[in-house]
Amino acid sequence: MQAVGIGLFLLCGQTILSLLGTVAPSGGGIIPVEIDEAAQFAALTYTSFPRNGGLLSAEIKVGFGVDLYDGSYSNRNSTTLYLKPGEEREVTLILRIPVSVLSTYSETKGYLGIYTDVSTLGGLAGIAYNALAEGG
Amino acid sequence: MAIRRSDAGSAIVTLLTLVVLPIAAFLYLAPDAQRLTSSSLDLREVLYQTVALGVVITILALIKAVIDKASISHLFLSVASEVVSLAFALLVVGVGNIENLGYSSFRISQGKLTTIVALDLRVFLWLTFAVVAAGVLKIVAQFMEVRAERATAQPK
Repeated sequence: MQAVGIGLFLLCGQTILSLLGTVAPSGGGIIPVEIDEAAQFAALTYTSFPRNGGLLSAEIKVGFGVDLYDGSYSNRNSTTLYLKPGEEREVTLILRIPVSVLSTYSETKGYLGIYTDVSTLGGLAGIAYNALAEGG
Repeated sequence: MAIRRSDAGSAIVTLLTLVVLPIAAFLYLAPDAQRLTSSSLDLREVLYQTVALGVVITILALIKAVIDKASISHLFLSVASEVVSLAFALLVVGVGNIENLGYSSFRISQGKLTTIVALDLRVFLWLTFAVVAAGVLKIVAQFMEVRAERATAQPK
């Protein structure tokens, strides 16, 4: 029973770590921004290729968003995937935010967050990994 | 004072896995570990607690190796060893904090980047409790069996 517990613990750890290493935005971790001058909106595109290199199936929720410190703006986009061992899928999320918000964020008055939730063993074990990058 | 080889071997394995291995792992991860000690997760403190519990378990195993298996002292030491092993497992599952009971969160800040990590390993907490409970039952059963064998073997 002890061996089963240790084995499950190691399998969970291996599955979770293998997934966490693959959810960073592709293209060197950069999120491209396209500005529509006419509409005064900016489109941020998050693309990654999460791959389950572990031996257990896992559910992964990936999202990103922009929040301003004064609470006047908060917008997020996310998706949930179920990956079997060895499976890889492409995730593309687009966030449209006003250019004025983008400018405010750039003045160190907000943060861009990338949110990752990985769970395995039917949701019994998991990790939430959130990276918040301050503007500026 | 005779030392049972099997118990002595178990003590050596315990020393290697719960004391030597964590120290070696910490030294191997030294650069990353130092970065984490500036966050809310102090790996050095986790190492100290892990090694301390490992030393206690090793000492208990060594004492058990020289004590009569049919004695009450051996029974108590075996149960104490299981309890300390439970504490060790709670330390691992709680990422350095036994009181977290399997749910831990910590924050790492580097310049403009802040990383918040929350780890939920509570299922292993319950599994550990079950393993320890089964272990204690096994210890008591073995103790009663040894006592019964000694009573049967004693000349009338």
